[in-house]
Amino acid sequence: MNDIEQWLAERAPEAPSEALEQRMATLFDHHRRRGHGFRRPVPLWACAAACAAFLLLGFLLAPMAISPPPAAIETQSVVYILPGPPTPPLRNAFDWSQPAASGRGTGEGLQTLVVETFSESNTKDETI
Amino acid sequence: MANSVAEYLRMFYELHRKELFAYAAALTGNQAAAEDAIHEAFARMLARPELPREPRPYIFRCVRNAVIDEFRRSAREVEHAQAAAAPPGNGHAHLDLREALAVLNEEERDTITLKIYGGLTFSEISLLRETSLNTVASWYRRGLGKLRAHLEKET
Repeated sequence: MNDIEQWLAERAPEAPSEALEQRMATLFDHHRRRGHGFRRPVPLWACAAACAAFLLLGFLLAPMAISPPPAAIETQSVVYILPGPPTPPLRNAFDWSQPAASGRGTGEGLQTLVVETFSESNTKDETI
Repeated sequence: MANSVAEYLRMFYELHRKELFAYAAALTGNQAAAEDAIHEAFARMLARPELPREPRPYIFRCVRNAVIDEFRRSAREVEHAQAAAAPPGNGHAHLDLREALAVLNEEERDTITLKIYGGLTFSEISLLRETSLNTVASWYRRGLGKLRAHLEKET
């Protein structure tokens, strides 16, 4: 250290006053009591307004967010009516299942095939 | 993180308050202004979420910025206080430090006060001033030369 450095060092300003010590202690203490540095830069009213707005928005959009329950898968039957071999004549001459009195001829030669399918579309009856 | 910043600053102040005060007082030439600047600088730093990697030059720079702001805020009051407190400069031993530092430009004065009163290294001062190490060393040598010439002329 040369003479100028020595001269400057000898004229170093005194230590800070007791008032600064107290101010700094108050500053650090205040900062610690404020919650370990947690700061709330947004005003409280803005937080409350944002909460209310999003709450309202949630109520308005909630029905749209809920999807309808899936449609029940129903077992549907497709009835195919196929021509079949002639049926032998019934032993009972009177057939209650036929509107005609004779009961013969209208349903003869047809075979009914019922096929169960899983489909959401409307029921279709197809005749081949 | 903010809590660790506050704890670091509190410990730094406990350990280096004399250096901080000497640096601020050498810049302002006024005890009250120096203390206000230190208080203001630490209040600003406490509001920050974190400190840079090299906190020591940064803290001194914050104090310097607070000193500059303090100067701007109460320039007239400081000048009046200095005029009232300044002893007559009629000898080597009684020369006012502020008066001697006034012969230096801003870079030289800042470098010398940071080195001698703040205890910072040239490397730290170069970080603080955001310039090269050689430039800082040049400011320091040139400043000491000016001070020597000024003191020899006064005595």
